[in-house]
Amino acid sequence: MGTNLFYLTLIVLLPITALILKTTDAGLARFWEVITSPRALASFEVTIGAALLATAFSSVYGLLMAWILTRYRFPGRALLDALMDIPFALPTAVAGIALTALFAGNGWFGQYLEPAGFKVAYTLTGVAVAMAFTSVPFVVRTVQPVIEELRLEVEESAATLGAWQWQTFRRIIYPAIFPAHLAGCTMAFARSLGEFGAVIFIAGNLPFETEISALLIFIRLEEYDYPAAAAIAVVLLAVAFFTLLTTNAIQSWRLKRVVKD
Amino acid sequence: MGIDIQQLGKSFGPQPVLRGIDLAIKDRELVALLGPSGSGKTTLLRILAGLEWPDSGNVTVNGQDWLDQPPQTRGVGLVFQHYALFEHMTIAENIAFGLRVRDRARRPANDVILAKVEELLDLMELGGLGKRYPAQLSGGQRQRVALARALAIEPHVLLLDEPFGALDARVRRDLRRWLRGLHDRLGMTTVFVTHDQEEALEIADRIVILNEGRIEQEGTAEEIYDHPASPFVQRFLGGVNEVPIRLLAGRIGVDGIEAGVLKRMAVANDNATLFIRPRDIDVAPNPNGSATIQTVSFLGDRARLDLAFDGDTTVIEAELDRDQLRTDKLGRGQRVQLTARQGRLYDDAAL
Ligand SMILES: Nc1ncnc2c1ncn2[C@@H]1O[C@H](COP(=O)(O)OP(=O)(O)OP(=O)(O)O)[C@@H](O)[C@H]1O
Ligand SMILES: [Mg+2]
Repeated sequence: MGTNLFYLTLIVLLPITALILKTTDAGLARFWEVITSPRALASFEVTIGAALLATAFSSVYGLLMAWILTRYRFPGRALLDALMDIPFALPTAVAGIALTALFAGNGWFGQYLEPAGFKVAYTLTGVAVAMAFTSVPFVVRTVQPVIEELRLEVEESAATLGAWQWQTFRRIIYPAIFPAHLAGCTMAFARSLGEFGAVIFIAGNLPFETEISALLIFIRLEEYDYPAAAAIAVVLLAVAFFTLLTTNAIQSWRLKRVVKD
Repeated sequence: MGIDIQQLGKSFGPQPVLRGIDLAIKDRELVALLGPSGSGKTTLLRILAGLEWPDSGNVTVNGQDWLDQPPQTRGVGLVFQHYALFEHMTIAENIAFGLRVRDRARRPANDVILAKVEELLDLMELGGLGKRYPAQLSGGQRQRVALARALAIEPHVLLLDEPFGALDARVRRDLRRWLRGLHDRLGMTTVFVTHDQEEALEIADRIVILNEGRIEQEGTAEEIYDHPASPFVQRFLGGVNEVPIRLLAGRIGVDGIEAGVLKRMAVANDNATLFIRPRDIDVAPNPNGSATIQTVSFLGDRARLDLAFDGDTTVIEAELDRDQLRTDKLGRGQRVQLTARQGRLYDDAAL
């Protein structure tokens, strides 16, 4: 316990404290001015908006992939299972360049999507695509083991009681995997908030339109405006922290209902 | 509802699991499926529930083909050995589940459902536990919740797969008597799977003994106990002595055991084995007897003796009243004479 606390302090709390202290260098008024500047606000909107979009996609797609990987046996399943981790293993910059190449107007996907009216590269959608790509494994890998542990007999009982498949999913299966799914989505969202490498290539980085907060932090750092960089970082931190807290609260509330006291 | 099973066959891959099962279960009958592990009991039950489909054969219920119906419409109550409760729902919600998932036309009103749940909680002696979660109950209570959940849809057929397997001996005994009472009161047709022959003999109207995917014997407890159809059944019913026989002038004899009463049994040659139940062996103190008492184990009012012959490794088990131990002063190391009162003879080719 003592050791745990020590490492927690060293690895997590210390940098965060340093960050917050840094913002106070310039005073609270300056902090407020930085984070409410139109460019910063626009970057929050882009970042959070795209992260929400990306998480919405990952939550559905990740759940589907986890389900397919655990419930079906088909040739190539092991390969698909391994491929799920690629976004974890790939340097995010590589992912960013690859996605840009795919979705650019002359890319494999872009050449069909753009004439059809879906512009992905250099738009908010592009930002969301990059975020989804890097964060979907969080959902797959948290949900998969839980689906694996579901006992078939429980679903079979539901069937003999008259429940059709979708009823069983909605009333039995999903509630059982919900805590894991929520955790996976939260991690995906938090990761998306901070994603930098994969996003900046495909985003186009137009201030007020596709500029993410992480990039704005980077720009402020390059200008040696450390307090401004730290101020924006604190906001991202606060959003991530708030999300984690909320989901934790939801989970412990759910857990309390199921687990023996 | 009567269930008619004809020539049911089922394989998993190359391995045949059911090999031509024919069985007619009468309306309101309580049938026990008994058999060793892997004999296909669960598979048969799952086919009846609609969770598995046979490769061949028919299942008809009240003259209707059951195999083209999914589990959802068969209206069977199914209870697994490990309960399979919905852990994230309260006990009351578990029990209500089968009613809540009905389509609007057939779903009872909410207060009717709640009343039904209360009624079942009382019936199962689970009063006051409706708001708990499954994790907060004991094994016996969970098993009764599983039963209540299955009964909520008012099934005509109740299928139980080793329902008491995970419970301790006392709870098992109580629950199985209670199950028998419930079966009689609700007027269902019940099929239950068990490993435990005592359980089957005690509560079933009829016992079906499965072995390697075939029905070895079916009948009432008396029929099966008094007239086991095969050496398998006799062995399965528990502790039986198997001794080789000798043929003396056309009459059978057994080394070390007096078998006078058995002499009229007909055999063609001496390739046969005599099965004697421990309770059918008389033990009399006799200094010139051929056997020695090796151990005495107490079984409540009765005692079991392990007996050995000189220069022989076979051990014969005999069971007798503890009273007799006392009056005859039987104890370890004592020499005794054994007499078989009855037994069954099986050709060695059938073993
Ligand atoms: N889904 C399955 N896939 C492959 N083999 C199976 C499957 N289900 C059962 N079997 C095989 O079928 C045989 C019979 O199984 P079953 O579960 O019906 O036996 P049982 O009589 O219920 O045994 P037990 O008393 O151990 O529960 C076993 O050899 C088992 O390995
Ligand atoms: Mg079984």
